Amino acid sequence: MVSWRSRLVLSIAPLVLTLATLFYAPTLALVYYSFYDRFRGALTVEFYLDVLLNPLYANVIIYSLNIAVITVLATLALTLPVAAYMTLYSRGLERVLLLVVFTTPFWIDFLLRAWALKSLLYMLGVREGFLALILGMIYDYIPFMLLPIYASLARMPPNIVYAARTLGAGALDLWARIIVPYALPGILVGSTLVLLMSLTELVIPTLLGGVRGFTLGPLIYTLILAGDEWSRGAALAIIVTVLSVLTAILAYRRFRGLMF
Amino acid sequence: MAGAEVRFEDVWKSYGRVVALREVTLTAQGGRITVLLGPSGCGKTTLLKIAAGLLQPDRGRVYFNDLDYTDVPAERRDVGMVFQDLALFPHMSVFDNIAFGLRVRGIRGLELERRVKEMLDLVGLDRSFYNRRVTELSGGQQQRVALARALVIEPKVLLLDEPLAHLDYKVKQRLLEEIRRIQRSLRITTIYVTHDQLEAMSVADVVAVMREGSVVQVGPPREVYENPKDLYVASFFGDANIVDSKFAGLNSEGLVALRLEDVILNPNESVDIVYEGVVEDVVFQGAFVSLEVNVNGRVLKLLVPRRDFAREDVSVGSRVRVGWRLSNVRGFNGVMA
Repeated sequence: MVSWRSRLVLSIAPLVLTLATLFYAPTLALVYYSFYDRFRGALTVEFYLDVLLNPLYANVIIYSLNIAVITVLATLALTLPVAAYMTLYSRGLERVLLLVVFTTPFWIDFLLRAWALKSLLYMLGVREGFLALILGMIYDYIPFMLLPIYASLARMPPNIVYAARTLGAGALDLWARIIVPYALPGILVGSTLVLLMSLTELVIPTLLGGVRGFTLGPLIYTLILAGDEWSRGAALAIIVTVLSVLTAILAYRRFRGLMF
Repeated sequence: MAGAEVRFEDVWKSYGRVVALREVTLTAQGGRITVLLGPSGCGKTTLLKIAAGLLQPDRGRVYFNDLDYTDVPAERRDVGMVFQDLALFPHMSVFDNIAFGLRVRGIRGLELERRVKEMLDLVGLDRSFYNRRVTELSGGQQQRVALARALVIEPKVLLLDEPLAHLDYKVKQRLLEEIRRIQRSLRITTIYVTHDQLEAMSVADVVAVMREGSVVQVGPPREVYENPKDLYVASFFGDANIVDSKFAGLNSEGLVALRLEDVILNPNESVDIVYEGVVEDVVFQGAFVSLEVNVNGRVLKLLVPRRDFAREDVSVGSRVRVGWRLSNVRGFNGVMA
């Protein structure tokens, strides 16, 4: 009789193997390449130094950060009212429908949606460029901001807004003292998610960015796959990954106390 | 903090095709506790929310001291409300919860502190509670915070929506007394919604029995209990045996009500009607013993004081006599004793 424990191990083995071969092994290879000079056959940190000190890379990083921040702020401004409406005013069927309306488009492959968006923007007279890029980013990342905020707000006991109103709270007080505090965990999760993901986004900048679309994603892509600069590309990718993970950890630590 | 008189005139409210309130005309007198009593779905909470300004009636008006408040929104109505689920702000401390209504009105600093502490004293919570998270408190303590939060703004009217619904019996009894005490000392108009008739009896100056959107009978608890207007009130407020009037000894048609405590076991005092029957069930309920006696196929329920029951040697299967005075038979619609 196979023991319970061995059965458990066997059942997770396929997943572990898949992750190990398709994710962790390539990542380790990437780390290796970032230190390995192919031409001189030696290990070196010169690629890291080059990436960190070269102003060209720095410009791209700053530009990508700008776009990421704009995306975060825009999605936040758009999704917060919607999430508030859904949790405070919608009941039952309407709430479910709204949830469906905002999430089902994202069941469709995002590359297809990016192309569809591009055609739509063309029809509206918007060609590849900064505006198209921002619109595409916002469009793509809305669910990542909406769902965490919705989840946070959904915890609100139903009568809280009623209670606040009978105590004299007008719209401003409601937002500042009740809604935003409740939504805060979701806002932070959503913002962290959107920031880090949009930083290295590849498809939207490539398809919709035109000449303004040279962000971190396309840069790494160019270095590794188009420009044969594996080592620099790898170094850049590792730097961005490490910084992203650190940011996520710090954000979690710093704001954990806000959960209630 | 005297209270405003709240008057509902011909109030109607529907949710889609469901009529929640029909033609409700009712006055909650200033400074008194008016209890809205009825089963779930009878519209009592809807009426309360209309009083609060959280809902607008489809038809009819609401007056506070003869001023038309129907279109005044909740945040400007100056009412204090305690909800069934309390709706305390979990992300705030006890102090901040109570201070909320004051802060929103621009009150801060020393006066804020003074008023919050005053209110905490009134509801019986001491200093150790100030900075505690509301989520750490017991049900009874949370209830006191909810009351304090509603009263600190010195509202014209206090609205309570089944405030004791989730509490233990003992805690409920104690809080019921506290609510009465506080209301008496502040003399604030209070509208109290409940489905529990014992709560209603304990706390009401006036009870309004509701059913399916209408107010069926209004009056002081004792009056409504002793003179129920119809079968519904007789069996909802207090408990009664519903029998036909001929069986009860009246020379008329129709149904009448006999309160359980008015049916006497083995009567030796003067009663007008006596029957013989067999005991089918005996349930000890503390101060009373509840009996079911089968009289010629009709099952009558009795409530016998424990002392009286102890004198008899009665158990399931015993043959007993039951009787009542005609003056205790409650008839309706002209059926008179």
